[in-house]
Amino acid sequence: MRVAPDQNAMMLAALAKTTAAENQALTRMSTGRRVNAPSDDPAAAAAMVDNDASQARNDVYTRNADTLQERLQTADSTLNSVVTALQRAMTLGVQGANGTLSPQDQQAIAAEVGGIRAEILGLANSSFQGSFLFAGTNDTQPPYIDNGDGTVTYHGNTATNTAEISEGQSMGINLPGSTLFGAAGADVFQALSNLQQQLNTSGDVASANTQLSAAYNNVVMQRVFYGNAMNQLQRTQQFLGTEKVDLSQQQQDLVGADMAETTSTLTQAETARTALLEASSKVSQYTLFDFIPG
Amino acid sequence: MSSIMGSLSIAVRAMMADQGALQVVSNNVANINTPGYTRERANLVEEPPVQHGSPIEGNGVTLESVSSLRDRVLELRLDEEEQSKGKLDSYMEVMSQAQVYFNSGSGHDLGGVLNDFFSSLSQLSTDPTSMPFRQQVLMSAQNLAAEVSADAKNLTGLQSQVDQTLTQQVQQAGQLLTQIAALNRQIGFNDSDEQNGALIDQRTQLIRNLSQLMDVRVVNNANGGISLTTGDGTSLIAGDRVASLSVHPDGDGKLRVFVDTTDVTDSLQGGSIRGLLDARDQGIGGLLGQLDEFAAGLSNALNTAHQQGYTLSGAQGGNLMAPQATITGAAARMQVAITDPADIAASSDGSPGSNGNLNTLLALQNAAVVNGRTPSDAVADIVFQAGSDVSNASAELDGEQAVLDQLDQQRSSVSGVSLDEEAANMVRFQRSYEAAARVISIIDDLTLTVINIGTGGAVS
Repeated sequence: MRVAPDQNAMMLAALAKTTAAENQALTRMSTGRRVNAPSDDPAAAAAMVDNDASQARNDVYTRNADTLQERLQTADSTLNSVVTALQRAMTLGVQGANGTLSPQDQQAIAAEVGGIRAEILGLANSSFQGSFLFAGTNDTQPPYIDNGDGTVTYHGNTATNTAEISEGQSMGINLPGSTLFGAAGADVFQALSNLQQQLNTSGDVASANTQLSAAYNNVVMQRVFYGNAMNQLQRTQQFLGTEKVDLSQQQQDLVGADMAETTSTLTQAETARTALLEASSKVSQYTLFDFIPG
Repeated sequence: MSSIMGSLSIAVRAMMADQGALQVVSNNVANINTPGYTRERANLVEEPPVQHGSPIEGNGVTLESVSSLRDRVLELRLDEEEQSKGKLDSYMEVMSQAQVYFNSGSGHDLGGVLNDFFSSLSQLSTDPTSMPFRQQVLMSAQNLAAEVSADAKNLTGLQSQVDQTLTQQVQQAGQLLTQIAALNRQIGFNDSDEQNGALIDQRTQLIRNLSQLMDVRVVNNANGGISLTTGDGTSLIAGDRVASLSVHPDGDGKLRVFVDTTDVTDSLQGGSIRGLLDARDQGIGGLLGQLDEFAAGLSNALNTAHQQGYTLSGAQGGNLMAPQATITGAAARMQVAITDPADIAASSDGSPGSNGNLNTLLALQNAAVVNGRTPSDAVADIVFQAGSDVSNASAELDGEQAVLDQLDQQRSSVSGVSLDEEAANMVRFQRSYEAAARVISIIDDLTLTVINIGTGGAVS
């Protein structure tokens, strides 16, 4: 068979191939990505959509955890103040129950209890970034209004919010004031008003004390919710941190460029190209015409 | 009986034949880089012998004909492969542009805006009364709708660009047909092989060019003429009749290709025109269909969930997105239905601080709302589709290119001009020309000898 005389076409096709390989390696090196367009690896590009979604969720869960942590912290420290105030009121109640006290002394203690009641009322109306912490979900206005006759009205509701804190994991993020301060048989404001009234009238201070300690126990018990929630959130934050690392590792595996491999590909393509160029400059330099004496 | 004059005429014929052969060499060398040129060969034959008496004497050489060295079957295969390559080339070129709109990490990132939207809902769920968070939800919903409808509009724009290219290529194919038919007629009129060789080269090259545009079948007729049909037999050139190619828009404004009055849009099988049509209808059309499903499914699911909740003022929630009654065109129509961030129905019980309905909306992330898939999976499918359209065509194209390269080599081995060969031929014919000239000079001497017989004075 006759040999195809045109070597240029073959040479150019081969050069085009090595140039394409060089270009691809350069793109990979400059972007650090193996997949720079969906067509580079359609399956990996599609899997990256899910990975992107997981990373976005991981980011927002992490940000949300910070916000929620602050909010829970504020609620918890507010409740800590409430607990301390209630402890003082209970101490006063025990003092006031001492039969040797004069009515004047008892009234002085009653006034002090009244002060504590006002303080706790203020604490119950605490807010975080404009939303009232103990109003249930009706949190755009203060939940507790003092009626001036020793009773209070609760304007909040009994609803609670839950928030998703990681993939498929939700937790409650608030307790309504009605659960904390207005539980049946453990109503904080009713107990304080009653103690104040019994002290003022030298009445049944002892049973008022019993009522107050029931209210106190309820607050202490309910407050555990916030402690638990903060612990859970902290564990979740740790998990989110690990997950974030896993997800970016997964991303690297899916679309990242293996730099060592890319570098060697580039070197190979360069070598092949140089060799081709050298060969083509030697080949087809002469034809028989060059040797026919003119 | 031999004669001096007989020898002279043999030598003269030899010089003429050698001149002719040298002209063929020269023509081959001149056309070494001409696309479609097939090398020619001088066919030298012995002149019929003469018989004067008993010995039969040779009567020299003559240049009987010049033939082109062409493998017709190989040329037909090259045409076919050009058709496949043309189709893949144009398909890939269009779809490479389409996939740009679905490249994550680029400015166009459908998955990214979808994630941002759900992230903003999640953020709002930590503080449902926060106006900045609500504003964030509204904005990211608008971004999502804007990205989806921009993608749809870009794809539609790409389709009309394809139609423009299609118009040009159909015109080009029509012009090629006219030129081929003209050559066909000339070849029919000519008797001389020399002229036909060049004309057939041109015609073969034009058919090669036409093959890049559309599928053609060549039928060789008896007199050196050819008939052309499309792959499924619609006549393009038959005798003196040339079909006219045209494009006409259909009901949706998409162009269809006609040969005379026959609609060949669906029956064309190869060439870049087929590739363009495939890219427009299957490739981009498929992506648009998926985008429409995504827009309709997501909008309607968001609305259903949103209507279950209550706005910041405690009113029943309305539509979050413009409702989508039909799927076709949903992506281009996608937009946000509310303008006031307070109208986002976050609450599940009417109290402003409730985030119950946000959790319902967030649950759509993992719900099968787009034709049995989650929104994110639907986006992944679109990205996969866009990518594999290009990568499959690219892989096929590599294979096709390899076949074409090989066929080109084969063609070159049959029809390509080799300078070495031409140089050798040139030396050969030059030498024989010189030898014939030498013969004439000897005969001249002989004639002179004859003339000077019996005369005193010498003629020299």
